Amino acid sequence: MEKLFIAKTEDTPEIDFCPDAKEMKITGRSLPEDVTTFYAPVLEWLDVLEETPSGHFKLIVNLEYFNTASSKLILDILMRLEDIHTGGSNTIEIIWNYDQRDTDMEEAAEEYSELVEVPFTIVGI
Amino acid sequence: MSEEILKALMQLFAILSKQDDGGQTIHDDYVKEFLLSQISRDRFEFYYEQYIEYKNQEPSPTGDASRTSVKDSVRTLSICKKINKTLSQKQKSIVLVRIAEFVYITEEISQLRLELLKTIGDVFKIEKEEFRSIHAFSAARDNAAVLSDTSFQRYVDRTLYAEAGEDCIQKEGLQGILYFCWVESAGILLFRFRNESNVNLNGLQIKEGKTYVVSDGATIRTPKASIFHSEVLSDLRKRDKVENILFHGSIESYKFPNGKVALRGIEIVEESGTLFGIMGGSGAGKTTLLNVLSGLDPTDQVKVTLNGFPVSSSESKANIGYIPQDDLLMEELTVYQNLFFNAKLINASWSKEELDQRVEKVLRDLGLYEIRNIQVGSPLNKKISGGQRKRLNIALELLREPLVLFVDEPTSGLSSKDSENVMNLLKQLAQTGKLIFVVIHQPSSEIYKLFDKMFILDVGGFPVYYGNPIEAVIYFKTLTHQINQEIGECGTCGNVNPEQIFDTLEDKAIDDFGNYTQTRKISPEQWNEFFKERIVPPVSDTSKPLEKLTSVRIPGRIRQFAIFFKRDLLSRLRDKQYVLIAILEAPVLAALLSFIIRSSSNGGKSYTFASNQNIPAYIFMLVIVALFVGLSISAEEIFKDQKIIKREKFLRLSRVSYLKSKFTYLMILSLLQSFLLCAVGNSIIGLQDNFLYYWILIFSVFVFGNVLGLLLSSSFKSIVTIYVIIPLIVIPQMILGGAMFKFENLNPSVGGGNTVPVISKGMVSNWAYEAAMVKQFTSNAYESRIYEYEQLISEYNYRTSYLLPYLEDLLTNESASAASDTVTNTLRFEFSRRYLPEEKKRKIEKLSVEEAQVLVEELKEFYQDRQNELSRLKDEHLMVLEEKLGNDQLAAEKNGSDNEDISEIVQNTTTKNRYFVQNNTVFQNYDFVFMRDHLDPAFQLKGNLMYVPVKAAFGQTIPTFWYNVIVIWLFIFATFIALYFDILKRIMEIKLFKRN
Repeated sequence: MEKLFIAKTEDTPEIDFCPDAKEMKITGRSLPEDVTTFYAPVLEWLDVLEETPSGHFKLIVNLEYFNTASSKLILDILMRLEDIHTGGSNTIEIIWNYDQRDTDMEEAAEEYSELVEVPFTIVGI
Repeated sequence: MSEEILKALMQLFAILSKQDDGGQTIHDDYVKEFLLSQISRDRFEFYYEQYIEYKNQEPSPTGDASRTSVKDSVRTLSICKKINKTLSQKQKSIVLVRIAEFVYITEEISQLRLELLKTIGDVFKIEKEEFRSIHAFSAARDNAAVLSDTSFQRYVDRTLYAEAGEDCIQKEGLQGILYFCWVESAGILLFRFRNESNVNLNGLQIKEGKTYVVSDGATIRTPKASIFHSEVLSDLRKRDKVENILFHGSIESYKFPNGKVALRGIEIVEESGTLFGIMGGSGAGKTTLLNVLSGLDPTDQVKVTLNGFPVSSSESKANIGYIPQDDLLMEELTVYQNLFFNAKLINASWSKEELDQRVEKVLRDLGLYEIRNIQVGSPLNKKISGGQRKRLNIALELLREPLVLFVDEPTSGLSSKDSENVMNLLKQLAQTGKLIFVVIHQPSSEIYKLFDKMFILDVGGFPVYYGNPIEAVIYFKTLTHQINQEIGECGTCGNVNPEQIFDTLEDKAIDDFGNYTQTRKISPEQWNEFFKERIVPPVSDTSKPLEKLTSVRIPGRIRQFAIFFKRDLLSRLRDKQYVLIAILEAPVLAALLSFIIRSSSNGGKSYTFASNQNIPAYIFMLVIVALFVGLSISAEEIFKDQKIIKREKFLRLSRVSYLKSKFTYLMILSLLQSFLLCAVGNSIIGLQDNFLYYWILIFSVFVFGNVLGLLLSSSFKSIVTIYVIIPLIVIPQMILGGAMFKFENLNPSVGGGNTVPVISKGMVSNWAYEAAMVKQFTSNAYESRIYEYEQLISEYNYRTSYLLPYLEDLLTNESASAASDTVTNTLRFEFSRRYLPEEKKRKIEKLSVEEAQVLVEELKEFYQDRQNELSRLKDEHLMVLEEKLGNDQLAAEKNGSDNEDISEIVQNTTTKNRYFVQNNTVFQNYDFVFMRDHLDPAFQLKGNLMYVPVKAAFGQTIPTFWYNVIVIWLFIFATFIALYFDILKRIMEIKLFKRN
């Protein structure tokens, strides 16, 4: 498996998926012009992950903001991870960090955690 | 809509509303209106408050009002996921339509709301193109936008038509635009209008700028024009260039065979995509009309064509499906197997994979996939529900992918829920472009509204209405000047009451005393007059391109045979009870019979076969059991398939193949049953010889029983009749079989006496019994060693002991000088008979008494010598045998094989009269089993003596056993021919018809 890295821009988050460290990080703001295209490599990477049993992976989310269209794609990613987790090829853990003042983000994270059945930790920073 | 969903929608509306500008009052008004259309006023506050509460939730201090908060985004997702779990695709599409309407309700369009709308569509998994059209349908806010989007179906007035051009449809009387959007996957039709006033949807006034979902059978009315749901769909379909089908039925008059007019003056022209209802009181001729239109009852009296092909042509037949009221299912087979065998019979060019695919597709389409491996079961012993049975029947026809479907009373006997499901299914099929004719009886309002067209027949086959179903109610009300003439359906609940039509139609006149009379206010003829005056007969539009019909290739006869056979076998093997009884019946009966009658008459000594007095009865019982079991096991075979046969005839499948498959299956079963019957019975009773012969014979009788059973099964109308008739067939076989009653003791008018009566020759039991008795006597282990000796001794002994002494007596008592005719005839035969040595033969014309006496004496001496010689030879032969085999062995053979009672019967040794006189000739009356005289051409009683050892046919001598077996097979063959031509049924029909 290869490392997936997409650098941060004004409207797109940094994607840093590292198979060696077994960590998948999403950091920044997500309001891309075309969400589907932007997140396509991420979903492809997850397809490969499902095929390659390699242990315990962490998804670490450090998002400041995402728009409605991105929210759907993030849900797709989370559900993909749920498949992988329940499918048994790898175990998954999600750690969602948010700014303690941002109650909206806290509620959004909580809402997500109810939608998927994967170990889900929400951490206010 | 459930409370949960309503709450979810309140949240969605709240989230949408608070985007950008934080919500406008027009949003709140929309929600109010929406809520009031869904729930009662007292619950209104509860939901509306929820909406306000969500809308006014404080945003997070870090939030940015120009963006959708992450909380709202994720909340939307979570609500939509919840909705996904509870609502059908159709319901979700409707929710999306409402949301799109909500988004476009404001003057300014908010990008954030649009983004939410897109995401909702995404989560709802609405197809891209459909999302686009739903979106565009709400987004189009001026004439230009509406007129430029060709995915809508637009109806415009003349001036706009000139502007917009070909894509629109011009409709007289319109002022503005009526436009529709068809959401294919959900099967919903959306409707909006512009620049019109006073528009009614199903009689209720509706508002401009709102989106309406047009339900099946709905009518939209503007002050000067009206448009129907089915009309819009059919126009849409034409635009999609779905190839058209055109059905044209023209019935001037149709008469029953008895001359009664059943239908008159009917002209039907219909195109694809129509659900066509046929209604009428009982006896009005609905089913007759359906049968005539579908070509099920082929007739020259009417002209019915499908795309120009006569309905009876193979091109038409391949594209017409007929679903009768009754089931066409093989009850023992599973849902899947029913469809699979049916598919195999329909089209020979489908491969195994293709068959599987087609069956699976139909199963999924009709919601039967889950129950595909469940046995269908009978209507009484239900395994699948009534609605599922009906859908399976429809599935059988859908496999053929017909363009036109005829359905006879699909809802009879179904619960209202099942009825609605079945009718919805038919409606969907119509919407995919099929033309479906349905005879419907007392439809509910919901079902009635599904129809695109309604045809109403009155008693005597008079057409009284043809057109839009809801208009029908108005039509009859108007004609009889009732109140509320212009309202077809209830304004508040939208219900239509089709009963009203029949109440009006059959309204009885009232006499002076206020009592209802038997006569109608308006007779069928009068209604028909109105019909002719007011309802414009449809004209078939010949300009349209029609789909070219192709006929399908059905499997060849041999393949059909194989399919029928496999289907039968599978269906039989599934019925475990039947299999068990079919296999055990014969051996159990054999065991019972042989065990009970296993007794010796030798005074309590050990059992020997030779001394069992019951052996002849046993043999006869074998025959009767074979006949009975063979008959009863096949008696319902064809009967239970009657409806299926009718359908297979419609599919042009071969009757011979069908009958052969039945016959073959029964033959195999009979082969097994006859083996078990003989094997068990013979071994218990100690019958050791000729097993193979018994098997062949009993098998033949079984098969005869089978064919006869099939004949009954295909000839009678009820299963009770069939079973009642079985004794009528079996008992004469018992009486006239020759075993229970001796022929010489029968009523002289029946014939018989010393010979076999003609009537017994029609009895298979007699042929079989004789074959077995003769075979058992002549070929048993003991008798077969000495048969030739005994045969000759018997022949000589008859002459020395009985015939010649009798002739001497006659001559002694003769008063005249010439010998009597009896003496002369007898001697003439005696001196010419085949078995007299040539040098002894003599031609005899007339004899004096003296001459005759000399001749008798001569014969007597000759035969006496022969007899002595033969007796000596026989003794020597026996001595040799004794030496070779030992005394014990020989005795064992005699005890084990040579049954005394059989010998007694076939030799007729108990008779008092050893000879009888017939036609002035003396005939032997015993030892027929040794006889050969009957083979002589000069012998006068040809073929009429029972138990002769060989018989002659076409100059050949054949052992009686084989001769009789061949006769039995001729019986079988003849019965099969009768079965093929249904001769018995035709004879009965002719008789019944005459009586009528």
